[in-house]
Amino acid sequence: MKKIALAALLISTLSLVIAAAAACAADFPLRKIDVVVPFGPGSGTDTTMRALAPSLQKVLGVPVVVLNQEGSGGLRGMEYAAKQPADGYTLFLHTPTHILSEVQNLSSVSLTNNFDPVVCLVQDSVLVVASAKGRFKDWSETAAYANEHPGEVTVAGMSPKGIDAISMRMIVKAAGVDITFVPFGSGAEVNSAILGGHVDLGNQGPAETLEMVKGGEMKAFLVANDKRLPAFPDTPTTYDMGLQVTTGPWRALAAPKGTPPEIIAKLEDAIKKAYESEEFQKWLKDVMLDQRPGWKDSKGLGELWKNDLEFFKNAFKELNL
Amino acid sequence: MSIYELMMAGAAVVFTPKVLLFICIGNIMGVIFGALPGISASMAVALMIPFTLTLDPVGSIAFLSAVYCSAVTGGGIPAILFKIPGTPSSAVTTFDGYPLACRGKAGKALLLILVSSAFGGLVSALGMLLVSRQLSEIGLRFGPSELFAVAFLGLSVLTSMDEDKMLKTVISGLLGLFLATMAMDPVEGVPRLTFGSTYLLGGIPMIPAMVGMFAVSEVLKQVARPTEIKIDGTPSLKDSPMHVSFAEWWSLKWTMIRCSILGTLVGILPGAGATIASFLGYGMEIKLSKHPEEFGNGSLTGLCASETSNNAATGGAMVPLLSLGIPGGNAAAVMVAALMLQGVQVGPLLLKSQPSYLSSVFLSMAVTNVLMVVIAVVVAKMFVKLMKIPYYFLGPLIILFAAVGSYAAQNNITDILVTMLAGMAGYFMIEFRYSPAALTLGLVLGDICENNLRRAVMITRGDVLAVFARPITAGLMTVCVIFLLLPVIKKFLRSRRGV
Repeated sequence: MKKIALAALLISTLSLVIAAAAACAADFPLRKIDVVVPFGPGSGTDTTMRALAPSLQKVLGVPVVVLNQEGSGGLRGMEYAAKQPADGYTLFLHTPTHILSEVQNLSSVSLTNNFDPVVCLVQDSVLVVASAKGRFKDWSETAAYANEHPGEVTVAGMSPKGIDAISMRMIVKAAGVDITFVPFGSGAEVNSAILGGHVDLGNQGPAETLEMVKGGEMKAFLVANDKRLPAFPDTPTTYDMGLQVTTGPWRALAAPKGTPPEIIAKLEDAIKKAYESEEFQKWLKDVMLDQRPGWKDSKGLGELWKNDLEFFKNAFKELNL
Repeated sequence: MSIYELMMAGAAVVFTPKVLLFICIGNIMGVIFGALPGISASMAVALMIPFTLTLDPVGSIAFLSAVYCSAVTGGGIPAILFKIPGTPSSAVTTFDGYPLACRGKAGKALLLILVSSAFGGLVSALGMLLVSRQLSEIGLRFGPSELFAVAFLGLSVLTSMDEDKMLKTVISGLLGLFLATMAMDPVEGVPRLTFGSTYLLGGIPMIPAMVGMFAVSEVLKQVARPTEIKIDGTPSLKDSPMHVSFAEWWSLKWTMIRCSILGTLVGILPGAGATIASFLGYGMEIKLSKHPEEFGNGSLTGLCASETSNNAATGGAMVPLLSLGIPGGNAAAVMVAALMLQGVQVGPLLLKSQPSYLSSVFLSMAVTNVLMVVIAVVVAKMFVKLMKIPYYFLGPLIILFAAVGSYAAQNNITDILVTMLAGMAGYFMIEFRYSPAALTLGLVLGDICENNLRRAVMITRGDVLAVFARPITAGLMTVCVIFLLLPVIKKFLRSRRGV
């Protein structure tokens, strides 16, 4: 009798589990969704997610919670997110930083092996700027001077093997000149080094520099893209200069590996609706993230991962990093 | 726009019932968040961002600067009472505040830090209002080589922190500098001394290290040698009337003025903030004091220096933010993010198009610096009640607070481990007469020293002499050398005379 009762209990529990699993995909989402942001409050990734969250919440009908898991240059958040159940209730906001860490083998968790792509939200650009009071007028003059005086021109950027440093080094290499890259701790430090005349050039995004350029404090020399940016109509592109470099940081969402494809498809739809909402589109415009088309679906993001991984592997080899 | 019109525009923003109410709430929340270990001032500001969505951009920034100022002040309360720095910028407050509390003078210490904080905050807010453009230009002149000299000036205090055990203090400081190198190499971008763990890639986290070094080690010391400090003489506000005599205030006047100016200037510098300001202010006062031996044993000057400088840095941090759009520290960077969420771009044009930003931040800071004294007294009274708990309960509670605070800073379990290890290390350092304070100094200044020196050498393409040939750097380095060697020479002369 006892055995039968036990078996009945087991079967009923099992059926509950199966029912729950089945219900998962159909009724998703039933409860709040966590988005792991691997950088601190106030960072670009954090503000992007916090701007999207209210719209996404409206579409999904459940709370969307931003979890800041900063530390270790964005790797701790990735390691944390990889450990969460692959049920669609945890998303991970990532950037090329996480591809770069894979290239450098910095963590046992890797983006492409431990996560499934969901969507890519935005694509930012890289600009080369200089102080308005600096010694150079434009990029051609700088490049010509650097050609004659190798290593004498300095450019400020952030983390030495981060996305902007790689882009800058690729630009410099394509131009065939020798410019010294000086890494700083934050965008604010880069801007003050440029304005203070401690470095010749700086490596920044549009949001950090547009106001400076408008205010006449800085000049924008170059943008790493094939088309000019609407906000910087007078700034030549790398392509104008014959340099084939178009890199730039992006921000995308991933889910732990093994998340059911139906759930990813559902998330993709919901995020697309939130992305297209008036509020988020207005925000993108305000913070200059509308300069280049950024939206990519799950498949597109998967390809972006593959291409970038390939590109950065080659870049590291070419640049001897 | 005349200053009168400017102030009226600011008053129109700040002195509305809604914004005033927000500033009051911001004050209360700021002091409480600041007093809770693990929540730094910038995190307190970040936590308040959701509330700004109901305010207009000018109102939000006024509200957030109120939170920022009061959080820096609130951090001093647990630093004095439990030796737990509530925010990293209050680490220095523990040096002299806690010994005072142990002598039953907690009330006096608290009053002193609140008034010094308010003084520092007001001076820097005034500086921001009147000469922000000039101040930000001074700030821009500090490039990598100058910033290295400033940080090195901070390190030069090592030889005078405790002249009797100078060697051990210097060793502790150097150990701190060494520990600061465990991170991703800032120039080459390769992991350095991380033993393959991703945890250390971001460096040793400051809050767990400080909480462990100061608070946990103190509890361990109390357990091992409980008789040394009579915590039973419960220092409550009633037992020690909050009374600082006029003569004592008067003797601190120059300290307050000097540290307000220093703190404001340090706040402006890129990459330095309230924490570094308080270490530098403390160091400067040791050097200028006639009684350097009192520092670390409950010196009123030391306490005043720490809290005046760190609050003065709050106004300083707002200077480059408002005049150039460059945030002068983490909390200011969070404010930029808050403005971005509302679609406002900060930049050099901000004040030209909307000068009310400057005057409303000033008025908000002025109101805050007066109001927070009252609020902080109330909060401090609540905290003082905790001191009535017998130490065999309070000790474990402090360890618990330390653990929760360390975890809260980054939601990371490993941080608690660091806190406990730092606590044990701190305990053994005290036992063998090494200096946890000097180690923390090295840890705090290590990054800014190393990064800026290496940047400076990169800019001059390996020419080290050219780095030090710049006028500001050369001047500061000369002062450093004098500061470093003076106590050594004094000691040498004294020993020769003795022979």
